[in-house]
Amino acid sequence: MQTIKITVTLATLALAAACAAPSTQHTAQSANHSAQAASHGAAAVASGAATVSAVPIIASGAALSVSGAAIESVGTASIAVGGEVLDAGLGTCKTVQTVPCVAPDALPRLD
Amino acid sequence: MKRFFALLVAAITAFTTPAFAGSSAAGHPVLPADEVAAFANRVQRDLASRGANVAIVSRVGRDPSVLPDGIDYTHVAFWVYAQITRADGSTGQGYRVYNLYQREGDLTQSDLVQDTPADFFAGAHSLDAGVIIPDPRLQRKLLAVIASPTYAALHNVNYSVLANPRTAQFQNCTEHTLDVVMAALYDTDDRAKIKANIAAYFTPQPVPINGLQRLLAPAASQALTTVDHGAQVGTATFGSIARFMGDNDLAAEIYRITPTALTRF
Repeated sequence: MQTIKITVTLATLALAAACAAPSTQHTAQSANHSAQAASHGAAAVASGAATVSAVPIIASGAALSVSGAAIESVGTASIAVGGEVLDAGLGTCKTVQTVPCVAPDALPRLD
Repeated sequence: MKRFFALLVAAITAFTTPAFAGSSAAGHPVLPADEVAAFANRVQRDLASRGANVAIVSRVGRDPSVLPDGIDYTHVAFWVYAQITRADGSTGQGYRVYNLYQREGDLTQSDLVQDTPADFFAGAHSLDAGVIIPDPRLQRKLLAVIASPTYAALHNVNYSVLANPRTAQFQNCTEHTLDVVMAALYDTDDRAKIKANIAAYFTPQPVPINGLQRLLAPAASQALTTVDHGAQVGTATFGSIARFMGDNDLAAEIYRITPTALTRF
């Protein structure tokens, strides 16, 4: 029983932040469907298979393309921390580091 | 003991392989592709309507009930509004997704990969995305970093699922995202300075894992190593990045979008 418990826990951890790439087959299917969906009115769509370049657009202003509704507050959600708060020892310069210890800057602030 | 260990490794491998393969078994989609594409377009239209040049978007890659407390989303990437040219010469404007993905065939390594919004949600467990739209001033800074060599220079190919964001030993998709945010905030490509600022101001998501589990986890995959952590394990997640940005007034909007609703966090 203990083995199962450990196994499930480890498996769960493995899933936590897998950053997994979609499978090739599914990617192609999605790209095709995305292109089809684009023909039904969504201007901001591009198929991965057919894209040859994508250049970031630096623009300011309001809406960039199709219109949309404002955020509806239809429920409540939370991004509150789950579990205990980490102690101050995590990841400090005293633990394993591959970079030299340097002093931090001030709190992040936008001009 | 040997038998126990062999069983453990086999079981863990069986559990973990589908997740690393993109949350789909043997290439079979989890959700209908047309629904995935429609949702991807919904997210695109929503971001565009808000004038977002850059957004941080997350997806649900697995059943949330099996994820540790406090972790709802399993993959995070930048969505960048771009001028797109297709193979037939036609052009359009839409979002391009800048990902860090685990490398197929060697899960201890990762690659920076651009794909489409529909690709991003391919293999998702559910049509549910967490979205952070940075403050417009930060968006401009992020664009400058993403379009510069710094974006790739901040990539560490050594992948760990539970990478410690306060160190540079390993990296996962959320940590790379955080590193890029910090590079933009502090106008630096100095990794040591970035890590120092993360250590000072960013609170990772705690992950409950005990000593025995930490010892055994690498037997399943080296990508599960926690050697870069101290006594407790914590990693960057969508939620922890959202908290950091919200607490420091760096975000214009932080919300959840599903096919039928938008909910502000």
